[in-house]
Amino acid sequence: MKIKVMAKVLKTNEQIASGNRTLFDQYGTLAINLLGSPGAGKTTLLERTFEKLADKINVAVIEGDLYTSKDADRIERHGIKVRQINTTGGCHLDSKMIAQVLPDFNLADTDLMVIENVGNLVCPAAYDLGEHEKIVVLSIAEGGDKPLKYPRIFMESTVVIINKIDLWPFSDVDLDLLRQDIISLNPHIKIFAVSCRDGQGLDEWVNWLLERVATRGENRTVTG
Amino acid sequence: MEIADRELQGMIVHRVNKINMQVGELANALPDALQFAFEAFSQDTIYAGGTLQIELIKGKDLILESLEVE
Repeated sequence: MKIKVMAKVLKTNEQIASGNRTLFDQYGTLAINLLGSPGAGKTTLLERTFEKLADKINVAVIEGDLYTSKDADRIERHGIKVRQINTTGGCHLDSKMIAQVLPDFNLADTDLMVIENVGNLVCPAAYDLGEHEKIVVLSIAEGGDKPLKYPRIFMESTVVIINKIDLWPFSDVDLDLLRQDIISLNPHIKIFAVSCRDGQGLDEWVNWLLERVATRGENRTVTG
Repeated sequence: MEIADRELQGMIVHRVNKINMQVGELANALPDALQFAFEAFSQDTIYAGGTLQIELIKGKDLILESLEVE
């Protein structure tokens, strides 16, 4: 006997993600899902970003890693509320993991929630966490061929941050071709080229982020 | 298999001979890895010895299409 099912395997994840997004929306909290390879500079980007955001907005962070609290410890040093999720071998975060830690945060007092995903250009792209924006960090040191080799993450993201741009003169990366490849996958994606080491490009990125936070905050449905 | 279990709830099923799945080319799910996982997780269940049939489709969806049971 044949039984027709036609069910999306990730449907449960999508339903929980939708619940997370509703919660963020109620409190006017902008939620971003920060993606990228191990070593792309995700945590360093956050540290530099939070230095520039100090006293401007309230930020909270969920850190996803296979093991250790090394990244959470780095973020905590900036006086930011952070919660570590260890996936103990799992290569991505899912929406249920996020739903489980959200009660630890006071969203009414959080303008920006950053979810730093497990370092990986593949699986995290397939799991909606309830974020408003997926932001992918790609470092010059990874080489310029990554967007076409790992297309989905660039198709899903609203922003790509090309990090370690200070290393570009020492690399063989064709920056124009890299931009062209990214845009061929996602014509509406916003591209920032930054260096967390010398600070170039960071102001443009932070200003964009502040604008997005302000827009989200205006749309909150819970007041007080 | 959790989805299949829910679908089969309340039915008398001796074994599942075939699971038909549709896997999008952008689903980031490797057919070989799905086969490996199916073999590992089906042991000692009604799915043991059954076949996981994968049809590659366009897009990013990962769909449990149908079950063939007896």
